[in-house]
Amino acid sequence: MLSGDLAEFPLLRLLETLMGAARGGVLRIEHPSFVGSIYLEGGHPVHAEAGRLRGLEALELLAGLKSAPFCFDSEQNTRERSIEPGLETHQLIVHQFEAWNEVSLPDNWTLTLQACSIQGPTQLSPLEASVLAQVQGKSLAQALMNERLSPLEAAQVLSKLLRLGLLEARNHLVIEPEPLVVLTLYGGGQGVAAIDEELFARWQGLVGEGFVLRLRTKNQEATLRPQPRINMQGRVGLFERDLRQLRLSRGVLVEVWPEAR
Amino acid sequence: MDILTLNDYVNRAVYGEWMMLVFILVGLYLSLRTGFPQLLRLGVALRETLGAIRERFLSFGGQITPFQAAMVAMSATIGTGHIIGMVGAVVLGGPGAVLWMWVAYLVGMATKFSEAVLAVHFRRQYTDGSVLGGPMVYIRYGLGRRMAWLAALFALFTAIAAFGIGNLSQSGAVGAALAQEFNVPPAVTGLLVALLVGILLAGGIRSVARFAQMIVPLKLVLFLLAILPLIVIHLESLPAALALVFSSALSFQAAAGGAAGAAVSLGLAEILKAGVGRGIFANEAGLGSAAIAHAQAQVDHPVRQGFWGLTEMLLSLTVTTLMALTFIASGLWQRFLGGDRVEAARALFAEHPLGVAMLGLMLAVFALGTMVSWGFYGEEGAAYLFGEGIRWPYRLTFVTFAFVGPMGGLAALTSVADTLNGLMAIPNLVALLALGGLVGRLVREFFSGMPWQPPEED
Repeated sequence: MLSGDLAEFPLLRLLETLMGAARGGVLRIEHPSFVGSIYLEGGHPVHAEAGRLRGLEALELLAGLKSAPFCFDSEQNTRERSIEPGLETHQLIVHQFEAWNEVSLPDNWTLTLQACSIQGPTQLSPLEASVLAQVQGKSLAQALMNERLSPLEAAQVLSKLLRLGLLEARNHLVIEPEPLVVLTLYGGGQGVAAIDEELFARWQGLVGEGFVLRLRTKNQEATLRPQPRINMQGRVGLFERDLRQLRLSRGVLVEVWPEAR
Repeated sequence: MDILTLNDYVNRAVYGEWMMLVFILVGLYLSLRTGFPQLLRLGVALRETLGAIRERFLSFGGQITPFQAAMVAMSATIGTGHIIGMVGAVVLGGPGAVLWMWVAYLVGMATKFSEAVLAVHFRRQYTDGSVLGGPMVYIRYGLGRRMAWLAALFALFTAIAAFGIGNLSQSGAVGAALAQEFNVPPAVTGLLVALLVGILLAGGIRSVARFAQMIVPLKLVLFLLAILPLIVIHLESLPAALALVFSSALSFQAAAGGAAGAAVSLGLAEILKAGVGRGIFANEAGLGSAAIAHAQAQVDHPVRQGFWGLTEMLLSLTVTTLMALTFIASGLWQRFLGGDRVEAARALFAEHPLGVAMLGLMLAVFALGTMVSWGFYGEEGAAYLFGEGIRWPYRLTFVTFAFVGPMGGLAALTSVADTLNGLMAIPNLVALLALGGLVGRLVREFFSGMPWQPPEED
């Protein structure tokens, strides 16, 4: 049984290898958000599934994956036929892969999409506006399986919305807020929360680089830039100006958690 | 010249006027380099320490909290010198000595602040979480390999001085107080003190810190219980006592008074020496001893621990001032001018509703706290010199001396240890002078919100 990860064996190369060897069986791709299967006969795709998608649409979605574990099982096959085998189909698949290379989307399709407030005038087509309205709170993978658009079309729209800053792709990890005691930082700084370097590294590992900190007091929440510092266990350091704005003082217990930027 | 004559000579030098002048000049230099934190950052210091007292059990991680480290230092500092020594300063220099004591305290605050800052900045942290720090470490790593001998000298002085100021003198004071006021046999006192000190030192810094955070508040409560009734008794004379502090600061003449009942005339030199001497040696600023405790605090920035140094000085100043003003207000100082300071203190506390027993109890508790902290200081000095293996032999020797102390004797050793205690200041003051600029830089960085960057380990 052939197995690996798409990060090491890109799907196109994998399909071409199987095609060259005229293999039959199923190539199963296990993405955290969905399972994809490509059935082959004599090296040619005859059927594909990805989530609720079938046929070429499923293949189109799978072509956009940059990483996911896969395995090829030559023992399994199916009677379903959703893809016409042949040279044209092969060219179409190659074209799909090329089109994905021109789309700029985060590699991590488990990220959650969140609409951002519009800053200044922005022109959106009715289609783009409707996608923007639909994808709020969905994972990137879910948004790509749009009912009205093919995965590639959806990807192109989402890519534009992300580029314009109208959408944000945030990590959906559930991280328990950390109770931390406020410590005063002196100087003219603002918008910074100093946390212990070990906690910083742990959260960075979970959320990824460039995360922000959310801080919850009794009656409000704030977003701050994290700054790692040594010997800050159990503490969060805030500048005097932020303390005044948040109506906080040294020694107060607050809840802090990381969020992908 | 035999060893004791030499010791007397060196002792006079290290506790003499010239050395006092050096203390004051170093304190002034550090005040300048650090931007007079004792005046301009006092509000921040109080907010960071007493204002954050509810966080006293909150650590920044590591072995002991900043509060506990300050308590260890304060437990050593606030000792019998704050009671008997303070009465002694007034007996020697008259009421005016108090003003000069205040001046010395004010200058010394910058010294203690800098010591705490440097102690945290240069401390060595080991993989098991333990910490070694203090002047020997900031001399070695702040001044470099070439000055390692000076660091070793400080450690040696500390390790030996602990047997005198931190052991024989203190256990002797406990023994004398308990024998005199409560008829406890010195051998029994020695056994109990040795047992307590032994158990506490065996537990390492955590155990010493737990004890200190209990004994320092107890010391302060006992002091208030001792002094408040006397203040109430002499309340009417307090304003006059305060006025006398200022009016007799430059010179003093009493037509007839003093221990001998003769006319007494005190010049500025005598008043200064008595006052400044108390203002320097009562709080240990410049000796470097407290830095050994402050180094243990796990804190995000050395300057934050420095504020505990300032607060420590303020509390020490409050105790000595209340003691001095009450003594002056009682009028007893005139009778005992130039006389015995212990007798003078006993005469003062004879007016207390609980009698002289209150003084005995207070001195015993004060001395006990000092002893435990100094045991730790000495052990750290020895560990710096000879490695971790020396800890248990040192502890056992320290405990043995604690047992012997209340029974008296060993005067020669106490005297030599006292000289070494004074000598501790020399390497420390050299390091403070050399590293004053660094302390200033750390202060500026702290107040501009920059995170602390510990020095690279070599």
